[in-house]
Amino acid sequence: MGFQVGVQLILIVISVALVMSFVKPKLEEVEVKQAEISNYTEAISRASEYNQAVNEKINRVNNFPRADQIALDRFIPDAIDAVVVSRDLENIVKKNQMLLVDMEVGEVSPVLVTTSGGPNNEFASLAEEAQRSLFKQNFHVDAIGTYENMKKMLGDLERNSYPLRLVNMSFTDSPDSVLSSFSFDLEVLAMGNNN
Amino acid sequence: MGWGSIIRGMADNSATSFIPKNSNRPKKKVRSTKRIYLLSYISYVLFFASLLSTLGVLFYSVQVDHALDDAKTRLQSEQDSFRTEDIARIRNLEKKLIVADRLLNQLTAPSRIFQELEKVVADNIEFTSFIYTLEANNRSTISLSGRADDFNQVLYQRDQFNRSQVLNAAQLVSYDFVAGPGEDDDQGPLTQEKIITSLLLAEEDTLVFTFETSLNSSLIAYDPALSPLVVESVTAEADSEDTAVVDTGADAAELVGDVVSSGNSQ
Repeated sequence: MGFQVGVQLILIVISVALVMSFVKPKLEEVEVKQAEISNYTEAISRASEYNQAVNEKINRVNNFPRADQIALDRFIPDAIDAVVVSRDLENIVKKNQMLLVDMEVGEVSPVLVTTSGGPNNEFASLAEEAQRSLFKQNFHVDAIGTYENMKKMLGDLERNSYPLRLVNMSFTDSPDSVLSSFSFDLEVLAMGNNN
Repeated sequence: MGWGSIIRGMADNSATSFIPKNSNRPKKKVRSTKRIYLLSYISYVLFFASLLSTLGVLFYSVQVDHALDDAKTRLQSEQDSFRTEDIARIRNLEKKLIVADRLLNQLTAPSRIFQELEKVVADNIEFTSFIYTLEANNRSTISLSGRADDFNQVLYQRDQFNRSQVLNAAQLVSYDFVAGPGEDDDQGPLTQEKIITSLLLAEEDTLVFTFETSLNSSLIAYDPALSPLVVESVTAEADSEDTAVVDTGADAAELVGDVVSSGNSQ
């Protein structure tokens, strides 16, 4: 009788030990893995959608006309070539029968970003990233010419193939001459990946 | 010895009789001693249940492991199905299109200020200096200094500015009345003697004033359609000199408009 009770107690102890030391931890482990699988499944689903979107975009990029790509790269270059910009400014000034008196090139600096607090989606974050990667370089131009020529020159600056943003302009009329002295502060933008 | 004593004697001797007594009477039921041991039952059930659950959990765990490995493999294959260079290329293009779109929307044409000024400046007013500043908050400030003969002319000019669509916020921020032709046309400071001389010569007085205005840049937004086609000559000259100055403003606007709108619709 005593032996039988002992065996039964041992069986119960083994059962409890088995459950506590193996089944329960294993179940917890399985639960964690199931959550992981759920995450992976969700990630796969998103990756699949993303892949589809990427493939569509790759197709669009591949079909992007070469001329448009060149125009876009010129409009927003990856880097500012100060010499090329200076040459272009010189050409614009001369083309409008203005006399170039002085030209100074400023330092390259990042463009300050003001967050607009728009919708927080992928497009908005990309737009913010794009805005952060912008940098600028200032060009100061002093020129002498007539008022009419200055207007034409201003029109050419506005229609340049890449933005020459006029951030400051001043001139003082000379009472003794038809010529005036004009001062322009222009800003050129570029988009780099290292900012 | 009578019959009565004989019968009693027989009854007394029946205990020793070889004939079993009351053999036809039902026996007393003896209770069975089969006992169900509760502890034993519980222990066996628990033991086998734990064994089964162990096996079940082990089997399920292996299956879950396989499923997890499978999910990892599938995710990896999804990740491997595109190249990071392609994504970088797409992102770069999209960023450029976004920036180009924003820039095109924010482009200003300060030359439109002069077009407007030419419409509203009174004939008898002479503007001598002009300062334009593009502010960070998408606004532009303009400061215009000039000369007039009297206050009537300045008031008329202020009314003209008020009628303008672009410059209607212009405020007269300072003015200075100078007897005679003013310091600008003269050498040295204005002295009492000079004033008397100018009065004697009946020279006109001078009112020096400054108008200032702050305007939203959208009022002078760049519009390719409004710009005269002077740029073609720039293009021709630029091409001949191998420069990058070409008119792509309108083209870029069209291009970016098309592509960004289709990009946003994705």
